[in-house]
Amino acid sequence: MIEALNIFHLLVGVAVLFSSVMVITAPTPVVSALFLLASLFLTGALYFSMGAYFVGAVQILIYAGAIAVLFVFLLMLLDLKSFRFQVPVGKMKVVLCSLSGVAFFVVLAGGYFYEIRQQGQFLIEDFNMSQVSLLAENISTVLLSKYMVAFQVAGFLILASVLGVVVLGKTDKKDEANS
Amino acid sequence: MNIHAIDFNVLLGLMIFVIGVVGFIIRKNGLVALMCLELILNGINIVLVSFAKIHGDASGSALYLFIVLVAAAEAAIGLSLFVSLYRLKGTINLDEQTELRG
Repeated sequence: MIEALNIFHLLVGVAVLFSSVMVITAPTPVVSALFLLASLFLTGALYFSMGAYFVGAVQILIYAGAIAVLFVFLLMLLDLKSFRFQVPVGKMKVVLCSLSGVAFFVVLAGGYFYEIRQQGQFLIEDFNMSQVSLLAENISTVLLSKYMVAFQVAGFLILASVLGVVVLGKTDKKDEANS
Repeated sequence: MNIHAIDFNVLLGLMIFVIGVVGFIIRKNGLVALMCLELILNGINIVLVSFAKIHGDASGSALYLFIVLVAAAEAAIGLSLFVSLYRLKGTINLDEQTELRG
């Protein structure tokens, strides 16, 4: 049987959408960063309402807890005075970009409804029943068997990015002496 | 009329993806552009986890973890690039970075 969307899921989804819109319309980067934090946190709540508890926990711990906080932290390092006045963006550009965005969304949604839904790629009844794919046990089994090589490569990606950040963040002693 | 959760989730993910793309084009601040990249990846994550649930395939959830990892690496590198740029030029406005213009 097909159950309707529950009200918590709907409310959280609308809140995610609202805070995502606020990220790109907020006047200053500080407000944008806080709305990004809200958006990522609420996405975690969306995963919880789907029954994806492990994924939701990862979302809140890593995405909202580390990545979004990194943005807020960086805004404290930079000089906020230079951000106070927003560079004016042409109104024409905003209107045209929004229209193209709507058109892009229509293409994507049309692709979903006419190619995936109409072709019957999945049974809609499965959504409320299956929790198997969302358990931490099954995720880790897949991660360490089917995606073993990708998992190792991802570790090297993290290592490379850590080294890159250290190199980029290092100030040259000679340059400082000259200036 | 019943809206089913899978349709709602997929449309929500696609909307967040499009919001990220539009924001990436219209905002001039480098930091906000990076935040829009995070929004793009977040939209994709919602779609991936929804499809993982409806197909009963844990691959989608595993790919979610990879995307989080790529987002973390990208945010760290991007933010440190903008810190270096700020030290060098005193601004991270994307329209003022014109060194590569021919």
